Amino acid sequence: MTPSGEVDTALIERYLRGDVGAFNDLMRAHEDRVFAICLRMLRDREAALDATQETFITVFRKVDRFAGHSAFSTWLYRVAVNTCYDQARRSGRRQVEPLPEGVDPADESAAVALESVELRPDLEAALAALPSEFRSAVVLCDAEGLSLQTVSEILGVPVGTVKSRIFRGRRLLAEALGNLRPPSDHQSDEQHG
Amino acid sequence: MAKYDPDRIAALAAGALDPAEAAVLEAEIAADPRAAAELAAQRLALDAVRSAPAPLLSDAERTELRRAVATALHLEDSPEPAATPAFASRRRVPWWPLAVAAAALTALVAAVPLFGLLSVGDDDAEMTNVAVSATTLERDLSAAGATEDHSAESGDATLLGTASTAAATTTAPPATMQTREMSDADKTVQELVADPALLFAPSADGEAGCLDEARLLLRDADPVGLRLTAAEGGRDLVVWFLSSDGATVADLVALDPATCELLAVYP
Repeated sequence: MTPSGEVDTALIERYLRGDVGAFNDLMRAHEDRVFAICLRMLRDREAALDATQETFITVFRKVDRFAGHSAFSTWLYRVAVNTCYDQARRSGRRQVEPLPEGVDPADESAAVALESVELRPDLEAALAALPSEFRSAVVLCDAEGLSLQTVSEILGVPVGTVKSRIFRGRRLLAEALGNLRPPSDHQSDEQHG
Repeated sequence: MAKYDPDRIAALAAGALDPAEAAVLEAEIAADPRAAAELAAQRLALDAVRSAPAPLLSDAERTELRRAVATALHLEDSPEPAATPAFASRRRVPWWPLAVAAAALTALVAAVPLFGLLSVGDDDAEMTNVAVSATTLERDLSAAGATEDHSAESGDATLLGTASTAAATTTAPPATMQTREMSDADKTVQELVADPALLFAPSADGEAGCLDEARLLLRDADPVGLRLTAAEGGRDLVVWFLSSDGATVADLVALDPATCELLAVYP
């Protein structure tokens, strides 16, 4: 167990003894990162706040059964990702990048403006356009800097699948950012999954 | 392109290959336009994601989040108002006063009963045991329970333990020796926190050691540290801490200077 994992475990012990200070410490240690994951997964700030709140409530309610087979943070992020999946399913709608104001897609002169939107979306929009499985892998590994093994545990898939999702997710992200033409012959599906 | 393993290209883009392997692969890829384009795409996406600022909660959002979670959990005491993350707004305490503090503390340790708090006796192994007491919780949780709750939401069942009685177990003291020693270490830390003047007193040098561990534990890139030198027969202690106002301790860890093991933590 890492030193930070030991700190978390000690805080959990104190929380289970009714120490509200430990609750605050655990929140302070993890709330920003959980929120960052949720926001990058869901894009919408209010939805991310809801998911963050739901994540912590779920985790604290079950923390007495946390066995430490994995780091507390790994478990926490796993709950966060799954909460985001659930929330996205519940919302039942896909985020789309709005067209620039005043642009009529039928107008041929709008082509340049539309292309600029298509080729230079902001990063959040590009992330939001990724399939959720790719997005979660890219967010956890590339944005949050978690190891492949940790991401594998969070997502519940083999490390090879994580690698494949990251590779393909980055490629799609680069395409969305407009700096790479889509390859004419896409590589085959996940090679390790 | 097909002859290149996508995983290796991804690893190359992420800087995860050793330099020799990376140089060879990069040279090979440079001769293959498709592979080179793929590598460029990987790097572009990675750089875009890594360079983006991490989203942060606002103070109002942070306070509301903690309040809502605490309410849902029926916590008796209201949680503390959330401030901006300590690592984002904490005013740094200059190093030079702390360096003097180390020297002053050295003399103090030799002169006052604080020595008794810093030392755990002749057996060095006792202090080391403190560091593993937190790990004991893990074993306690794993060993305590009987029935696994398969109703876990959000797919976390595989990471949940089997201890439905774990909460009760954790309220029981850990092994007697470890409980006593952790208490001693905590007492030392509490003494220092209660009298932070010792930590903030002017000092002459400040090389404390175990900085990497402290950064990890405190989740802060720039903690303040000092080494407490015990009198003969005692044991040195490395203390790293954070302060939001230059006068009180917000977070503190005490480490074994030889092994950098965590001995005590505040809060």
